[in-house]
Amino acid sequence: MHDGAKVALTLFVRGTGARSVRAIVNVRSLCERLMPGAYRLDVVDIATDPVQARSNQLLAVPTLVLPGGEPRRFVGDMSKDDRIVEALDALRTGCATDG
Amino acid sequence: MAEPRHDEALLRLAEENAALRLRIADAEDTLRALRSGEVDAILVGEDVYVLEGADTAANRFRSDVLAQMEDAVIVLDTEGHVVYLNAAAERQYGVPSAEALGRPRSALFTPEWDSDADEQAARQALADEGFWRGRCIHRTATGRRLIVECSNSHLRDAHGSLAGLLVVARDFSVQAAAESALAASRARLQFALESARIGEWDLDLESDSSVRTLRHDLCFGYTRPVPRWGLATFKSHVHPADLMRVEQNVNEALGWRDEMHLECRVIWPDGNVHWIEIHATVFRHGGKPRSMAGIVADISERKFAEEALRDADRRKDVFLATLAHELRNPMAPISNSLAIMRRSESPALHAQAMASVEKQLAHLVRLVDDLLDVSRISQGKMTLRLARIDVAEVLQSAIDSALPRLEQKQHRLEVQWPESPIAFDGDMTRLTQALTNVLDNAAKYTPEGGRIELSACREFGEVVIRVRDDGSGIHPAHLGQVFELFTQVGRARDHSQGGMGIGLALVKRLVEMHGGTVHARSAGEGRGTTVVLRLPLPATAPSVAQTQMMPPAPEALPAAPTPAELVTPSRRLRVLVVDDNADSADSLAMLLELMGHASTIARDGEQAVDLAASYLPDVILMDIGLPGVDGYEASRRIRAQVPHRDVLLVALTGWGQAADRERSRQAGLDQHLVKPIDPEHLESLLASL
Repeated sequence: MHDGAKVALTLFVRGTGARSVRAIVNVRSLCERLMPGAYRLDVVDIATDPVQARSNQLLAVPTLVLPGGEPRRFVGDMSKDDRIVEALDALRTGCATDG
Repeated sequence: MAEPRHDEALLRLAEENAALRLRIADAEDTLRALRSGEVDAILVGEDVYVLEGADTAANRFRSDVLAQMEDAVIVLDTEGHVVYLNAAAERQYGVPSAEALGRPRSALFTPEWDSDADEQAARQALADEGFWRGRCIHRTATGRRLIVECSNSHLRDAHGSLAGLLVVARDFSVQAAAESALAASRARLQFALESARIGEWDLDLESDSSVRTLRHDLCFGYTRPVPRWGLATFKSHVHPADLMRVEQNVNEALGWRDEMHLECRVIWPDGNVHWIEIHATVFRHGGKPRSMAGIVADISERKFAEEALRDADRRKDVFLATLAHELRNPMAPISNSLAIMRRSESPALHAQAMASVEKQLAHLVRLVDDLLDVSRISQGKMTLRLARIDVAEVLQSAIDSALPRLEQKQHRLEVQWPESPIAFDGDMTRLTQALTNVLDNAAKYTPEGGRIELSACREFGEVVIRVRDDGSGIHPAHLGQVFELFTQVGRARDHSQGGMGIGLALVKRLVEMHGGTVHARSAGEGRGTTVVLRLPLPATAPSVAQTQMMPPAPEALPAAPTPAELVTPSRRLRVLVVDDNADSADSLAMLLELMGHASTIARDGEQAVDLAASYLPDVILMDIGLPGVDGYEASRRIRAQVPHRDVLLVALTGWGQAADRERSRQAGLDQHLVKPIDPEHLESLLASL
């Protein structure tokens, strides 16, 4: 399985900030639960990579950016996961249909 | 045309509306997140505003502390996911925080246990007490093996329910490697010490007790560890003869030297004496010696080997000194005789002197021949000419050869001939030589007029030849050594007969070449000696006893010659010649007469003491090797007897080593001349008086 078949997620965080850490944990758990082995999570630290942050026109971190024609974003520590699950499900099925 | 445009506009509007809704949803989500404190920072343009939550200060403090820690800190949630790891954990497991968070523990490491029991114990401790601490192995995701000192604690939330697991792990690999290297090095050292048979000990001086290896106790003869061992215990094992030296060593080490190196003898519980070697260091506390640690080794084998070497070396020295003495002894009468011949024209004196020279020369030749024979046998260069011979022939031939010596000392030889011929395979010449040597030896060590018995018989498939004398005998301790080349039993000064073991060493070698054996037996010193030669017989044959008595064959000593020519010296001295060797004494006395001095002869030490008192000599020429009272003792007695008399005491001896000269001086002898005497030297010495 090559990366092209995987859902690419980007999580913008700030260093080891407490909510950033929580966000990473929550997103990864979510992905592992919903699509183990079928996703790629890129964690971008705005402190070390500010350019990417600006180009994505972020408002706040942590922010999870989902791929798509109109990328979906979620802000926070990802502990309220209902909408994210919904969006990921949509992505997963879309992905499967595409593949 | 308007409709499609309218439709397009509518579509665009719908799309824009949807995008806007998403933006709004984003904004709402951001606001919600902000309100519920889920945001770390807000980005406005290029600026980043970090939000300070109520718990941020505490969080930062906590995270700073954790970040600074050398130990890896990992928090797992109840499902085993990594929810926190500090910088040390990132380094230790080689996984960045962003990669590890949310993943199971195995993304960082998998614990491995030495045994299932260890794992079970750790689980049990965590379940029972919520805490476990111990050493285990963390296998990293990339397969590295870390030895860690690990403490696992249950984390509980505000309500007391289980919230996760805190793992603090210190990488022990480096230290563990060092420890294991140390253990290996220690094991190697132990092996080395053990193979070198070196024991270790560490002595506490205050309690006089020690920690030691079993090898230490083995050095003192214990195969099981001794319950308690201290300085006092050690000293009680030291050989009494070494104790003072050992105590001095210990005291010096404790006093100022701080180290100790010594060799001493110890007595084992079984009574055996062993040599040990000790090297130790003293440890002080505030200048006061507190403990002493070191090693100990049993060096008996080396010591005994050294002793054997020294003994062999000593025997070689003695042998060479004896050889020089032996060679000089016949030279004295030869030298004297030549001096006589130079000074006198008397045919009678010449004849007598020549006879003396010939006799001594023959003796010298035999001595050298014996030496060469021994050397030839040692080098394996001698071969036997074997033939079927009768033992009676050997006896007769040996008697013929030994007769002159037997007669000279007026010994009586009793021969018990075999009852019937005993034939065996042997080299007639060599066996005669061997038996002659035994007879010569018996004659030598038996005082004049002694009795020597010679017999031959058949015993248990061997022909046995016995030579028994009633002479000086041999101390039982020395019986085994008399056949050794370099041994001359006890460097007795009183064996005027010389004797250096060449004869008997040759006997042993010759007999052994025949496949036989030779032994000496003696009831002790002064109680005679029996030498037994056993030679293998090829077959059995009956024998008939036949005893033949050899009549004593005394031979009168040649009468002292009347000096034909007398030289008148500046002063006619009275000279007492002390020498048990008749040839030497007679020729020297004759030489003195020729020099114009008066002389008389003493044959032994006691006679010398008597004559010193009655003859009142000006000069005493004292042979040192005398039977009974030796030259030293005689000199001391003479000095004590007539202390006022101005008598010149001159030692006359074959012993020319520095120690011999020193002994002469101590015995009160004025001069020490080595045989053979240079007549010119003697003459000038006498003239100087």
